[in-house]
Formats: sequence, C-alpha cells, structure tokens
Amino acid sequence: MRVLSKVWRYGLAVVSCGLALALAIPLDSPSSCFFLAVMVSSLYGGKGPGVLSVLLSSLAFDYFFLPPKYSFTMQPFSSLQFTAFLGAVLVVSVLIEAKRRAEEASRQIDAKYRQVSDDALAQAQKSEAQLRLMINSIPVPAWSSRADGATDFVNQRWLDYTGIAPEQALGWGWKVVCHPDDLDRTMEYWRSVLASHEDRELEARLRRFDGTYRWFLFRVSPLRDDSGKVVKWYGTCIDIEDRKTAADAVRASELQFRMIVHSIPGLVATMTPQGDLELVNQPVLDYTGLAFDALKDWWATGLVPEEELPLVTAKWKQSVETGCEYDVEHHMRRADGAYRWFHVRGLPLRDTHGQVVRWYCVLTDIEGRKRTEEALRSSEHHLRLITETIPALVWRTTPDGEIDYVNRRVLEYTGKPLEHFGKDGWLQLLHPDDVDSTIRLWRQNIQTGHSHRVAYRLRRADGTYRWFDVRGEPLRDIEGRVVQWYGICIDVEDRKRTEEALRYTQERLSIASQVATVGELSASIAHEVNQPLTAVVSNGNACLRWLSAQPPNLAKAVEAAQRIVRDGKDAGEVVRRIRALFKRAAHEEVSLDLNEVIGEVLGLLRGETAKRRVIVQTDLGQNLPPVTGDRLQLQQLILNLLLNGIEAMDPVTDHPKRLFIRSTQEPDDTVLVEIRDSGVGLKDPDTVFEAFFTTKENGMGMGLAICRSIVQAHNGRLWAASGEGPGATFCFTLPLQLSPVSRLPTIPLSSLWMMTIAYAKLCPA
Amino acid sequence: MDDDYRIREALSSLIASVGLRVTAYGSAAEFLEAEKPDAPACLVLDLQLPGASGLELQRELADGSGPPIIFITGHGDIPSSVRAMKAGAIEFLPKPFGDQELLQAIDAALALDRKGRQQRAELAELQKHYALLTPREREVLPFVVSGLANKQTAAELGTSEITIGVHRGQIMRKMGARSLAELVRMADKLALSRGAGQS
Repeated sequence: MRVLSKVWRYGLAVVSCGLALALAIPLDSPSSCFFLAVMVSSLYGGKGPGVLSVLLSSLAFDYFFLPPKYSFTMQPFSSLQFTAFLGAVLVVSVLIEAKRRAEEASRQIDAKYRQVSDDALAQAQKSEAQLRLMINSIPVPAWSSRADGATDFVNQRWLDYTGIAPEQALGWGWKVVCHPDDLDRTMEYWRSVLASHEDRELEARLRRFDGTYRWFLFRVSPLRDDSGKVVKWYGTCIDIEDRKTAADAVRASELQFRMIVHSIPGLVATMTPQGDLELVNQPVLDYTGLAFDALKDWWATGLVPEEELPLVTAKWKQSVETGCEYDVEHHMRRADGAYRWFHVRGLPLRDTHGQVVRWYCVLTDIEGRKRTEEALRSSEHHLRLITETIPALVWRTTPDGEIDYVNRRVLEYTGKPLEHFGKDGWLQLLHPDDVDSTIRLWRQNIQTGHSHRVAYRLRRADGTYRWFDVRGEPLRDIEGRVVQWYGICIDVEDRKRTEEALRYTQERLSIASQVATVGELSASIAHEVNQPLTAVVSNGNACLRWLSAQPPNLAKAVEAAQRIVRDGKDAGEVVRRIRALFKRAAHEEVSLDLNEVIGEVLGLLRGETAKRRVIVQTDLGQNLPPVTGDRLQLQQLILNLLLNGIEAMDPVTDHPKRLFIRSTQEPDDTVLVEIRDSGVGLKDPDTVFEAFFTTKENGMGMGLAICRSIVQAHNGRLWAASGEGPGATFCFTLPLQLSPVSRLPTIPLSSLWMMTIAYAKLCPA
Repeated sequence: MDDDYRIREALSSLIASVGLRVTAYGSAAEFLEAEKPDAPACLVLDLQLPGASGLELQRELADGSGPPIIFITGHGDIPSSVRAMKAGAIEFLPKPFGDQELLQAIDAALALDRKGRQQRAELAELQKHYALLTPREREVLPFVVSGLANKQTAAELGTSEITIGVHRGQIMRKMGARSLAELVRMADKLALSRGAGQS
C-alpha cells in the first residue's frame, strides 16, 4: 500500500470526521459514525491523522451531541458520555493504530522480503546470462545431458564448430557429427560412462562445419544431487587435433630419427642426459657383435681397451656433467676381436631451457686415417731424416731470397748458425771470385722465377773452399706465385777433381788413339814428299844422261833441270806446309776459312786416298764466310772424319770408293760441312759418337768422340746419318759468330805432327 | 803410267835419254784406249792409280798380249809387291828409285817382250798351218805325235792302215814339218795332245 502524503492523510482525517458529522447528524448515531471516521483516519491516515480524527471527533461529539448542544460546555453526565466516547474512540484509534502498525511492519517486512527476492532474482538472472555467455564463449565446445544421456544443451561454440542447429544437436542428434569410425567407440564409451557414473575421457573425431574432422578430447562429469544420484552430465570437447598432429609429427620424427640413426652407414649411438646408452644403430651392433643390452654396460665389455678406458670414461663423465662436447679418439674392438681406431664425438641436444635432453654420439672408424697419419708422420720423419742426413746442403728461402731453413749439414759444413745466412749472409761464405756472378744470377732468378742453377766454391768451417753444384727450384702456389725456394748444394769438389783426372786421361787416350793412325798417315805424308823427290831424282838422272849423251842433248837436259827445280820446290812446299801446321800447334782462336782447312787436310790425305784408290769429290761453297776456331782442332776434326770415311770404304769392292766433301753456308748463320762416303754405312748413327765405339778391328773408338767434343767446344753440332745408297754421312755445323771457345778438349795434334815428322824423317828416301 | 804429271815427265825424259820411245798415260782407261805400236814394249806402272789400280790393270792385261810390267810405288807394301810379282811383273820399284834400277828393268822387260813377241809370231804361224788340217787329220795328229804306229792308230780310229798313212803325209806337208820330231815339237807348242785333240 502506498504511503499517502501527510496532507492527504490529515485531510482524510478531517474529511472523514466531516463526513461522519454529516452522517451522524441525520442518523443521530454519532458514536458509530465517528468511530468509523476515527477508524478510517487511523487506518488509512496513520497515527497523526488518527489523533486528529480522535480530537475532531471528540470536539464534534461534544459540540453537536452532548448537552448542551452546540456548546462545549458539558454537563456532568455529558462529561461521562464524552469520556466514554473519547475512551472508546481512543481505544479504537489505538487498536487500529496497533493493527495498522502491525500491518505496516508486516508490509515493510513483506516489501523488504520482496525487495530481497527481487534482487536475488535479478542477480540470478544476471549470473545466468553471464554463465550462458561464458558457456557460449569459452573456447571449448561444451554440452550437458540429462541423467539418461540425452543431450539437453550445447554451447554456441559447439554449434559454431559443428555448424548444425541446436535442435538438431539435442537428444542423440549430435551423432551425425561424430566420425563414423569413432561412433561405435563413442557410444560404447558413453554407455560405460552412464553406467559407471564416473568422470571419463575419450578421444574422438568431430566433424567441423566445413566437413573436416578434427580430433577432440571428450571429458564428461556427472552432477549429483544430495543423495548422490546423477541428475545431469556436463561435458566438454577439447580440440586436440593440433596436439595430436604435433604428437604424430613428434612420433613420426622420432620414428624417422630412429630410421635415420639405423640407416646411417656410420656408427651412431644416443645417450640419455644421464649418460646411459639409449639407442644404437645396426652398424654399432654389427661392428661390436654385441647385443644392445650388453652394450649398455659398454665399459665392462672390454670394447674399449683397458689402458684407454680410464680416459674415455673420465671424459664421458665430464661431458655428461658439464654438458660440453665429447670428443675422444680411442680403440674399439670389432666383432672379430681386432681393435680399430675410432673417433667418437658426442653432441648434446638441448631443450629451450638449455637442458640436455639427449646425447648424440657418432663413432667414426679412423683406422685408415690413423694409419695414413702414422704413415705420414713416419714419412715426415723420414723426410726430415732424409733432409737432415742426405750428403748435400739443403736450404730454403723466402720468395725474396732470405734463407729461413738450412739442414744440419749446412750448419756443420759452414760452422755457422742459421742466423748467419739470412738474406745476404751466405754470400760471405762464397769464394770471392764467385760472389758477383752468383748473386747476379740468383737475383735474376728470384725475379723471373726461373730454376736456379749455378756452381760456386763454398768455404768450409776449416777455411777451405770446395766446389758445389747448386740447384734451386721455386715452389709456387695455385696462382703461380713463388712462395718459397728450395735448393740443394751438392759437393762436386771430388767429382771435379775426378773429371779433371778423367780429362787428362782422355787427352792421353786421345793421343794414343791418334798414334794408332800415325803409321798410315805418315805413309801418306811420306808419299807427298816422295812424289816430288822421285821426280827430282829421275829428272836428275835424265839430265845427267842427256848431258852425257853423244852428242849431249842440252835442250832436254835443261828441261830436266828445270823440272828438278820445280819439283824440288814442290817438295819444299810440302815440308813447309807441314811445318806451318806444326807451328800453329799452340791453341789459338782465329778467323778462318773452312774451305782452306778442308784443302789442307785433303792435301795431307792425297797419298792415303791414292793408295786406297778413293775418288775424292769436293763441292766447296763459294765465298764461304769465315768461322772462328782453332785451326788445328778443326783440322783434326776434318781429318778424323775423312779418315773414317776412307777406312769405311776399305771393304768395298763392288762399286767405286767415293769420298764427297761439301761445304755450304746455312740459313741459320752456320757453316755446314758434309762428308759422305760410299762405305759400309752405319748401323746405328746415334751411338757412333760414344767413346770406345768402334767397328774397326784395331780402332779404339775415340775418333768420333773426340770429333764431337771438338765441335761442341766450338758451339757447333755434329751428327751422323746413314745416307741414301751405300755409305755414311757425317755433318757438322759451326756458327759464324762464335762466342769465346769454351774449354777445348784436347791438343794432341801437335804430338801427332811431331811423330809424323819424325816418322817421315825415318822413312827411307 | 802415273797419275802424277811430275813423275810422268821425269820418267819420260829419263827413258827417252837412253833412246827409247816413251808414251805417258795418266790413267788405266787412257792407256787401254790408246793405240799401241806393234813393237817390243814394256809398261812402267804406278801401283796406286785413281780408279782401276795398277794391279787390276795387270790382271786385265794378263791374257799374254800385254807388255811386261814394271811397278813403281810410293809406298811399297809387301803383299802388293808379292801379288804383282806373282802376276808376272818384271820388277817392283819403290819410289824414289835410281835410274839404273829402272833402266835395267826396262831392258829386261823389252828383251822379254821381244822374245814373247817372237814366240807369239811362231805360234801364229803354226796355228795358220794347223788351220789347214781337215778335221780327220786333226783327229789323227795326236795319235801320230804320241808315237803310235799307223797300224795301231788305224785300230784306234777304226780305219785302215793305208788311210792313216795318207793322213800322216798330209799332216806333215801341211804343217811344214820336216821330221816327226819337229811335228811333235809343233804339237807341243800348240799344246795338242790326245786329250786336247778329242775335246
């Protein structure tokens, strides 16, 4: 009931009293009317209006109804009446007030109660809405079922996911989104859950709105009442597709890992973070010949040799404790009992927190490498040994020629420390005469990168100089830059001495070989002298006879005498020529005409060729430019070649013996002399120049060897060829401009001539 | 003959000085081609000649028609001289030689050649006579000179003794033999014998 405003309530009291008066007058029943008015006022106006109505009623009653009427004065009786009336209305008023108060209190309580209940309801409604929102918005499809299992609610997420209408999902309609393969399982599960009344989980696939199935984890919990009876089931479906895929991936990767591990052709093992064997691949089993279980206690199997085991286990322990890489080389026993070298590397796999989750160990068979290393070490050792012990001085320099290594022999030989050599220090050890040429060549070779080759005298620790043959080769990198020079100095002092001795012997031998031809040659020269002598003697005799004839034939005698003079001069010329040749015996280089030399030699050989009936033909080039050389040696050369040709024709009987000599200037600024015979020819033109090669019964085989040394000394070339037809051809060329003739091999011709002359003298005239 | 003109000139003059006729040749070919006078002669030959040597020339001339040979040589080696002498050389003179040696050798050679020429002339005469004989007479001749009687010869040749006697007379007449002894000498010179006659 609404609380009336004060005015209204008091007005009600006034009005009710007025109405009661208006009614009471005609009815003349004031008490009941006023009672009514007081009751109404009290009842509806409250305490104040009640009191007012009591007051007004009492006044009205007194004024209008108690005698004296229309006066407030009262008679004693009236006063009694009034009191009774007042009392009555007061009681009524109080009663009504009490009742009204009770009602008011009751109404207030009621209102409060209502208020509270309304609040609670609102609250409940609000929280339900929130719950619904929450249920609908939690990122998990959720649902509830009745106790019998029929679904009575699915959340929005569930609907969103499956894409079906709510009414379709309720009851058992949800089965349509269950994967056909999982349906039986799901129903079975659901039945078991309903039977057991317990929390259960299930993994099954649910169809998404787009038709794809995803794996979900079903969780269901019962709601029980006070008596423990299941009244409802609540469930969620958690999407585990990604996790499952990830798990599958992990499983697949694990599988793949195992496959990889097993299929790696090397030996692979994985270990737990604690250092225990986790997995080994087949090659490990094959190699060790042990079962996996046996391998778990690998340290006890003798797999690693006892002497290496402490190191291996210590290292492994250290790695496991510190997580640092394991890297050890040790032996490992093969199934057949042979130990082979292995390089074992262990790498820890760490998770995101850096915790070691697994050790991967690769065992590499390095037996081959070890052996190679061993061989290499050994060969290195050998090489060093060789370098240090070879009887030669070995050195190495930087690209710019600074010596940075010498072998022990160098130090021993020179008696100097390595520091002494340096860039130029070694030059102090050279013979003063050799320094300039050596340093010039060395610097040139350093610049050009050409092989270095030189000979010089090197001072020994005791101060004596010895000849060394020096070779240096540059070591180049891929780009061809010189990175180092390697060199060797070979002591050739003894060899040089031997060579000297050999040369001396050779000279003597050469003399001896020439002596062998002296007989023939002297006969030749004797013939040269003999011819004019014979003519002289005969002419003399003829002259005498013409003079002593009767009568003397003076004309004839004069002719004869003239011939004597002429032929005598001839003989003198021969002798003079021989003497002239003899006089030039000392070695000298002169510019000479080779044709002239050929002519001189042919003159000497005229007797020889006549005796052996050799037809000499010449084709000597006109205007042949002069060559530089030693006349005597060139004579010896041509003489040897001609004699050779003549002798080669000795056995010839079936065709004329022809000796052909040609000289010509070649385009390459050389003079070519060709000597061709029609003799037996050469079987092997290449070997004839070798010393002691001979086809003659009494020959020493030095002639052609000497010829070659003469030609080479003149920077020329000598070769032989078996020409067309019978016979052999010898050719030599001499350069027109000769550099100084290097050491000429032999000067035996002077001796030869000496003997020739002596022989000629002894020859019977 | 010498390839050295000096020797040729000197020897020509020397030989000419004793009144002999001299022709000089420089080579074997020159000699062989030249016309030789039909008179006693000899050849002074240098052992060493270009081309065919003295010894070869000697061999070539060894058929008997050639003149006797005197070898001269610049270097007389023994094998050559032995060969030369064996092949009938008159002398082997090493240069230089004295004029006497040479001239004596030439004299000897000329005498030999003269004698040879005479013998050759006689032989030619005999051969001329021998050519006149009939084949049958040539058959009979060896039997006659071997001293067989006519009867025996007739028996050998299967004919009559009278026929042989006739042949014998013819032979004696044609050959100009005055006696059997002379005929035998003739047959000897002609180098006829029974065997030769039959061949």
